[in-house]
This record gives sequence, structure tokens and C-alpha cells, in this order.
Amino acid sequence: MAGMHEYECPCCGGGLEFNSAVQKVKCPYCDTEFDMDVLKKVDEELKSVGEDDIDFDSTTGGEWKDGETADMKVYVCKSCGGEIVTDGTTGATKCPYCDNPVVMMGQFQGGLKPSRIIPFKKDKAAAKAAYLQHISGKKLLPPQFKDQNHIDEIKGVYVPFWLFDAQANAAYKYDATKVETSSDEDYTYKKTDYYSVYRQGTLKFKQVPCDSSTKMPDDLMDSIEPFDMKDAVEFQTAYLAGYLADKFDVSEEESMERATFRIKNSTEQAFLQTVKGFDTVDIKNSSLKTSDGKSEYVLLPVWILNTTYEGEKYTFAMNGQTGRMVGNLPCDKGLLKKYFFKYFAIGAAIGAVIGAIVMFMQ
Amino acid sequence: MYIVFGAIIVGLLVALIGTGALKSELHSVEKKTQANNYMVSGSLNVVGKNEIFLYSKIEKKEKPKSDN
Repeated sequence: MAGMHEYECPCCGGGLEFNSAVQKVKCPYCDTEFDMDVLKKVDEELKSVGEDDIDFDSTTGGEWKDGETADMKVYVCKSCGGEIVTDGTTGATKCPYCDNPVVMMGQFQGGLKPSRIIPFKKDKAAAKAAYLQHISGKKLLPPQFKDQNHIDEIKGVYVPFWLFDAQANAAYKYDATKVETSSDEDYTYKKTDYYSVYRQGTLKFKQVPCDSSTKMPDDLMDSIEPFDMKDAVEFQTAYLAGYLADKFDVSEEESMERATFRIKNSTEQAFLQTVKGFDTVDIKNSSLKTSDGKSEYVLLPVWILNTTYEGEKYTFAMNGQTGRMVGNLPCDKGLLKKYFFKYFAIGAAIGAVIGAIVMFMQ
Repeated sequence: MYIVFGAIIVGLLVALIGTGALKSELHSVEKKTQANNYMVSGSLNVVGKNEIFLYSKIEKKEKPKSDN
């Protein structure tokens, strides 16, 4: 069972939050800052107290059908007593009534505990600025999207990822050709030499990431890569204060399939680059095995922004470490037509000049 | 004839390339199929390699002859 914990300020009792600017936990009410080591001791004390200290209430209503509440958890906020309903994977959130940040301690204990975390380096203001930059200068973006644009929600989320280390042991057989052309007075000759090419070897990969939350679209998370794991620190629940967090709900095995797919493609490309001096090279057979595999469960910082335009939801994501912002934008069909005809007119004018020159030369 | 033909072909090419580039600005989300960023630098170790010549093929094409 999961327990809930608020990091309360020892000075004023307010809910503490991790501040990305000072990289410390800070009270938003009295501005007192706390080192992470202090919060770590608080964590340890909390663990040593045991079950009796955990203040939560998990209930299932009698009216729910069988299995309907299997993936739902209900907590009671320690500050205001309000009920917080979450799904089974939520690890940190805010109380919807008093907005106090809360951490579901049980979600990150035992075998589920992440080994490392990259604390947020970019704050909410940076995410908003990056979003405005992202939508600026796009010629086909509907003007109404910018003018009427209100970001529905900006939330900082620690997304669970699996990182995989592996050595790829690969062997490839290629069909390759070398082509030479020559000519005499009467004929042109094309000589094609056919080769069988073989390559075998190894290639190492380190920390290939795969997001392990079904709530996060894989393509969105792929697009904000890379994260620099040099900034990763030992996991402490105190880092989650003030942000949302999920525990993984995609297994290591499922994630490994995605990582292996990426490793396979990159290995294929790397070995292909060692086949030089040919005009065409095609893979005939290949085999890939991985060894020295290692996985690590980590939490990585992501800002998620949601907006709605003409009834459709648009989701944007920003890497909370590097500030890389991504998100697909709508296309204005009227503007698309306008630019098509504009470019057609420019191209037609150039084409007419080229045509006139060709005609003149003949 | 050359002028009209040239205008249509080049016009269409410029319009398709131009609007294609503008549309691609709106698209920034894509599933990754490669792990190139995570290759350990210098770890590619080719332990077996060969290139065997199999055979040659020659194609002969007669040059067009002018009547003059």
C-alpha cells in the first residue's frame, strides 16, 4: 500500500517544493531553502518510523463494479483533509483543493525505487518562453492559434524511463557492386563487378532511453532526447516535491524490445559505413545478438504543456534538463494554398526564363 | 512551347518544395528508430571482414548514329 507524504517547511509548515533555479528544496511561502541532504535524513527518519506513521486512507466505494477500482487510489491530504484520487501509477501530485505538493511514498519504495533522477533544471517560466518561441515564425500556423492561444495546463512531470546498456554482436552479409563505364566509336560499355562482402564485430551502447509510462506518448518522449545523465543524482523522494511523477507501468522486457530495435538499426548503419569503395551495397543476411545487457530505472524531468484549438488537443513537451521543446502544430489550409500559388508564381517566372533561354539557344 | 513547359515544371517544383519545407516546420514529434546518440565512441570493433569478387557482367549499348 502506498503512503502519502508532504515535505512540510519546519519554519512555517507550508508545502516544500524543489526549486530548479537553486537546485534545493525551497518553501514557496517563507523562502527558506533546504539542502537535499537534510531532506534525505527526513526520508530516512520517515522510513525508520515504520507503517504506523503513514497517514493515508485507501478506499473503494461499494457502488463500483468489480475491477473498476483496481487501478485507482484514494489518498487524504494531510494539510486540508481533501480526497485525492489518482491512478495506480501516480507517484507525486498536488492536492486539487489546497494545491500542496504531495508525494506517494509507496510508489517509489522497494523494487520500484528509481536508482537515479535528473532534477529539473528549467522552470515553468522557461517552459512557457520555449513554447512561445516554438510557435513563433511558423508561416503556416493559423493566426488564430497564436492570437487565441491559452495554454490550458503546464505541468512538470518526472517521467519514468528505463536506460539500457548493451553490446551488439553483429554479422552482416552484403551484395555489392562496382560499376565502370567506357565507350568507343560505336558503343558504350557498362561493366558491373559483383562482390560478396562480410562484416562481423561488436558495438557498445550506453543508456539507451525508453520511457516506461503508458501515459506519455513514445514519440513525444523520443523527440525531447537526449538527456545528459551526467546531471543524474541518487534518487530521493524530496526531488519530487512540487512536481508530478509517475512510476513505470511498461515492463523492463517490453521497453527492452524498443531499445533493441533502435540498437539494431544503429548497428546496421555503423557496419554499413565500414563497407567502402562500392557503388551499391545491399544487406543480404544479418544477425544480431546482445550481451552485457544492463538496465537502470530512472526518473527524468519533462514539462508538459496542453492547449486546445478548434476542439482538438495539442500536447507539447520540453526536456526539463536541456530545454528542448517539441510538439506538432496545426496547418492553416488557406495559408498553405496562398504560399503554394506564391511559390508557383516565382518558380513559373524562373522556368519561363529558362525555357526562353533553351528556345533561344536552339 | 519551351517557355510554357518550363514555367509549369519549375513552378510546380518550387511550390512543392517550398510548401513542403513550411509544413515540416510544424512537425517536430517523431518516433526514434536509431540509437546513434548512445553509441559508445570508439567501441565499433570489426573482427571479421572479407570482400569476395564473384563475377562480372558487361552491357553493350550501341551509340545513336547521325545520318550525316
